[in-house]
Amino acid sequence: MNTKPWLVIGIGNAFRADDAAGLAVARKLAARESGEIAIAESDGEPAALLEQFRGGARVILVDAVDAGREPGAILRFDVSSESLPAVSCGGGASTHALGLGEAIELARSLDRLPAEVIVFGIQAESFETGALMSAAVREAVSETVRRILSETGTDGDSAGDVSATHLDRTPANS
Amino acid sequence: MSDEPSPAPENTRRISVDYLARVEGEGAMHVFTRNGEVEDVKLKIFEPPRFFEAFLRKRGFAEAPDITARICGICPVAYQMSACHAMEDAAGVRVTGALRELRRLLYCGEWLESHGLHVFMLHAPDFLGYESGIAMARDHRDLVEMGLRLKKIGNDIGNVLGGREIHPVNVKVGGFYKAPRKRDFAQLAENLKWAADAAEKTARWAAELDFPDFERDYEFVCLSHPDEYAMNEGRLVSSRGLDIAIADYEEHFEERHEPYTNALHSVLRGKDHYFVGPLARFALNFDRLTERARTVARECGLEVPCRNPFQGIIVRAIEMLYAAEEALRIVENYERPDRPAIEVDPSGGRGCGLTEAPRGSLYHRYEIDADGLIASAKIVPPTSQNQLTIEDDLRSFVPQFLHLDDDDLQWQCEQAIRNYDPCISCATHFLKLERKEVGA
Repeated sequence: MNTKPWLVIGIGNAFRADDAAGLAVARKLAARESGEIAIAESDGEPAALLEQFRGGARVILVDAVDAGREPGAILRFDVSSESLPAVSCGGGASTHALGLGEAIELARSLDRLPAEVIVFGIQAESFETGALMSAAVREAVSETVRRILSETGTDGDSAGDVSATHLDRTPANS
Repeated sequence: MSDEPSPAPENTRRISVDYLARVEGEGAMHVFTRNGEVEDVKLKIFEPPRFFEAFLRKRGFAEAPDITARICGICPVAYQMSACHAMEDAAGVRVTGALRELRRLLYCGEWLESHGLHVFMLHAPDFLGYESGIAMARDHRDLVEMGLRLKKIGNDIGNVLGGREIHPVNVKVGGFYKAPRKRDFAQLAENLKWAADAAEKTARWAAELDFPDFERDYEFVCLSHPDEYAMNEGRLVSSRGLDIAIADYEEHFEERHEPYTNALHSVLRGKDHYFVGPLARFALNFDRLTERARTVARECGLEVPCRNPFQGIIVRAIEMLYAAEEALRIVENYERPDRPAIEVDPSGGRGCGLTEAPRGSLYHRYEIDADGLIASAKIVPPTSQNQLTIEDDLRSFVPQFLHLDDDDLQWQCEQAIRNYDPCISCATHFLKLERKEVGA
C-alpha cells in the first residue's frame, strides 16, 4: 500500500501520438523517485482506475484532452467536489466505453473518490495511431511535470530538471 | 453531416445521434425505412485495425504479442494469445503442460474482466432502464460493487501472471518471461471461490430480466476442443457443419470491403454472415462447461443453443462462472514449470492462430522472413466478423418497434447492438445512429 501523500496517475496510450502525454508525465515523475509522490499508469479503464484511487487520499490525474484549445495548452480541474467539465479525454470521445469523467463520477457515486482529486488535461494535437507526440505536447509534458512538483510542494532541489523519457522517441513508425 | 441528403422530403423522418453509448469505441449506424418497413441497415466502422497489419511489417516476430496487445485495452490477452499461437504454428512447436495451463488462466482472467464490464456496466443499464452504469450505480450499488469486484479478480489474474493488468507484459512467444510461484496464487484462490459464487448469483439475477421475444437462426462459429471449453486451441466449428483446422481459415472465410465502411466484413465463403462470441461457444461447447455451470444455465432457463441475443447477458454470466471455476482448478493444480518458455524460431515460416477473445474468435496470420522479421500480417477481430450479423438482427428487429418515438427506437437499436459487446475500438472512430423514413 502506498504511504506517500500524493498519487499521480498518468493516463494514456503510448501508441497514439499525443495520447501518450499522461504516461510521459508519469514516467518523468517516476524517474525522480520522489518520497512524496507515488506514480501509476493507466489506460483509462474505469474499474482499474477505481482500484488505483484506493492508493491515495490526494490524487492527480493526467490525461490528454481535446478541449478545443491550442495544442499543448494545460488545463487544471479540481474534481474533488465537482464533475469534470465536458472535455473529451484520450482522443476524440474516449476510445473506451466509459471515459475519465465517467470513471470519476462512478467513483463519486460509490463513495470511492479520494478526498482531493486534481485533473491535469493536456490539449492534444493528434491522436494518430503509431505517430509521435507533437512538439507542443512534449513541451507541455515537461511543464505539467513542473506544475505537479509545485502543486505537491516537491520542487525544492531539482526543479526544472526534467529528463527525457523513451516516449519522446517511440514508437518508431515507418 | 457530410452525407446528409438535402433538402429532406417532408415525409422523411430521421434520427441522428452523435455516438452510440456503452460500446467499446465509436462508429455510425444508419437505419433506412420506407413506408414503415426497414429498407436497409448499415453499421459503419471507420478505423479498422489494418494499421497494425502494416505497423507489424519488418518488426521482429517476438514483438507481435506486445504490439497487437495495444489494439485493445479490453482484450489484450486475446491479441497476445492469437499472436503467440500463430508464431508457434509457424515454428512447428506447441506449448504444453504448465505453460499451456497458465495461458488458459490468463484467458480466464480476461473473460472475467471483459464480461464483468459488459454485464454490469454496459448491458445491465439497458435492462434496468438507466442511461449509464453510473446512473445505475446510485440505485443498484450492491450490483455494481459486485461487478467491479468480479472484474478486479480478473485483473488480479493479469497482475499475478501478466506482470501488469492492462497490457500484460509477461507474455512471450513460447510462454512467459517469468513463471509465477505457487504461493503467488494463494490470495487468488480464495477470491476465485467468491467469484464463482458471484457469477452464479449474476446469472440467476440476469435470468429474471425481461427479454424481448426475438430469436434468429444463426450460424454459430467458434473454436472447439474435445477436452475443454475452448479458449486457445482446437478446430473451428460451426452449427452448420463447418469443422476445419485453423490453418484452413482463409479457405473458408473471406473479408469483403463495403464502400460505406472502412472495416472489412468477414463472411463464410459460399454462405453468408455468421455469429462468433459467447452465444456461439455456449451453443457448440456447452457439454464442456463445468457441471455447475451447466446446471446453473439450465436452472436459468437457457436453452442450448440460445438464439436470443439479448440473453447474452445470462450466457456471459455463465461464462464468468466457468472462468472462475476453471481458473481455480488451474491455480490449485499448478506446479511451477522448469522453464518459463520454450524456444521458438518461426523464421521462414507461415503460421496462424485463432483464440477465443471474450467477444469471439480472433484470427492472426503471419509470414516470417529468414531473418525472423514479420513479412506480412493479417488480423481478423471478432467485431468485424459479427458486423453483418448485427446489421441483420437490426433489420429484423426494428420493424417491431417502428411505432416507438425516436428516442425509444434508438434505445432499442443500441441495446440490440450492445448484445454483441462490439469492440469497435479495435476498429473504429465514430458511431452515429440515423434513421431515415422515406415515404413512397
